[in-house]
Amino acid sequence: MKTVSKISFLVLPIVIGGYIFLSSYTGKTNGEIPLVIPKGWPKPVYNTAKNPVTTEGFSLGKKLFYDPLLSKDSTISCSSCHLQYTNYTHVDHSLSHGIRGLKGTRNTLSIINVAWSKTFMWDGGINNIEVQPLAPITNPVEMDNTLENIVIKLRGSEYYRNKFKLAFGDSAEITGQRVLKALSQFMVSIQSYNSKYDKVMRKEKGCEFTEAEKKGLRLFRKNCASCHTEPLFTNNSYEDNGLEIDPVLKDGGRIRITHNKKDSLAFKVPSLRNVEVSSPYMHDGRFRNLEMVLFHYTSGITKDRTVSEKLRKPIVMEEDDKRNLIAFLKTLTDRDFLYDKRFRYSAE
Amino acid sequence: MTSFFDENLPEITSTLAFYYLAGSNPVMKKLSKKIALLLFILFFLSSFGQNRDITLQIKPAFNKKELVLEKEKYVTEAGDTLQVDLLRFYISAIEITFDNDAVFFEKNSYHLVDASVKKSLGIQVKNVPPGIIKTVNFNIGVDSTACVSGALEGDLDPVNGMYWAWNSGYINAKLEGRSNSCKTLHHVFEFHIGGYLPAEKSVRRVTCSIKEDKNRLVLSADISCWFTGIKLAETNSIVIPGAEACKMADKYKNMFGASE
Repeated sequence: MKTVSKISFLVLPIVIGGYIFLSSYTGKTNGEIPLVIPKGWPKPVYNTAKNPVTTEGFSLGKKLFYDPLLSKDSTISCSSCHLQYTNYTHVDHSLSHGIRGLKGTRNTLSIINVAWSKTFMWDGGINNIEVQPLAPITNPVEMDNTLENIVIKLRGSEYYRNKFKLAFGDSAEITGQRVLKALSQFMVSIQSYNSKYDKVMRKEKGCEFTEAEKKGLRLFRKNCASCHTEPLFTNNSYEDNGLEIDPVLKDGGRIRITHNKKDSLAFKVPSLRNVEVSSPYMHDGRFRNLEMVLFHYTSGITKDRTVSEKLRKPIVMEEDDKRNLIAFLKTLTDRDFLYDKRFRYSAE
Repeated sequence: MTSFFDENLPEITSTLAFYYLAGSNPVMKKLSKKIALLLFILFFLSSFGQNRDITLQIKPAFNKKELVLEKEKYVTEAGDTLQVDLLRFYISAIEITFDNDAVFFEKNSYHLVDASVKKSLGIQVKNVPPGIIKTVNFNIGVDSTACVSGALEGDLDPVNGMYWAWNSGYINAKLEGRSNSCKTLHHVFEFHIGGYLPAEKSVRRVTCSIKEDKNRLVLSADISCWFTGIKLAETNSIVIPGAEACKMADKYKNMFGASE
């Protein structure tokens, strides 16, 4: 008996210590990554208390975001159309193409600061970031898949079974809910708030606008800010900005969701953060550069119908004004964000 | 209301019985017969007035005939011959009322019923108080809160194919099948009924009168009412929220009736 108790005195601390040591590596003590709420920003819409971002959940979400397994034939991932360097949009593609080279009907929207967005997509049909991935997953010209099929594929992977356990607990099965929660953890972490504009606003040392940028900001506040409201550079609403109706796409915009005539030809007001790198522009990507966008707002608004009341008074700008405005818009580029290694694809 | 003692009496008595029977104490042995008798009487009495689990057994039917998916043919009121390939709907917010006007609400009450999944047809309602049941009330579909709460779990997991992708919200009820009357691809008809916004709210409250005190309540779900006033040649696809979906919800809310 004596030897047994002696051994247990020696062994017990080792077992307990080892358990505590190991558990810190098996995700039992998840490191939480709180959402950054920059000074002066409103309260986020998304409640992270119900789905806290953890190191393991973020890592799983990122893996899923970059995994073509999400598409029916394992060729297309979220990142096929949402590229980090171009503000999570599909550079050079007016309409993005998905599975088997099929084309969609709209230009890829960026994924930034989504925790502040009430509704998603160009028509606002989606009411919560957690269920947003269902749209590209099931769209026949994007991933052409089902969540059910993704869950079956993931359950067949030992790698993912471990990843889900790390993120959601030891007894955690892979479920549709957890796939969506993990993707959300990654997406809400995609936050841009370190552009030159932000640094100037925070009065950081050595950060100042040039004369052109200053003039541009004044023009911006006078002509654009009622929709592209600071600091998010969107008012999260849906507006008819007076684009001619495309005769092929015949896209009615938000009316498809609300069935309300007031929403005919209204589309999401996108954030202008990183607008410099997210061309082409508009819901159908019809404008290749910012000059074309400004030409539209000063000279191209259709007279065939009544557009958003915010655009009924003509915007008048000289060529110099336009150059200054564009100079300001370029201060919204956040290179720390575009090249942040934490968000880049990494093979594990 | 039940007290702690009421709720735990079976456990307490059976635990005592176990210790008693397992015990080899000679003092206990002397008292054995009396105690055993007392305990068994207590145990017997405690089984009265206890909360119980109730099964709501859903029996899908078409014109009072048992519904057989994919194989059987049925004829609608308008004379369309059809087969049913898929039937799924949510039953939520279950409420049981009793003869003595007491009301029981099931907590976190969301159940997905799928005609092809036998287990889903027997809805388990746990911890229902005793008494003579008067009505069983529930929603066909889910409330708006669930429709805006992101990714949920269990029967509400979007993995079940009852959540819309491009226009968020649950599909409250889904009926798919085939009929030669439909001039559609493969003669398919499909009704995916949902919509949670006030103007297009398609969740419907149902009250079923039940006059028996049994732990298994059988409800027939006769889907022939989905086709009341419908010609499949004209109406064969409703897959978005709106007025048409609401009209369909008003029809199918009549599908439930108590059967023996």
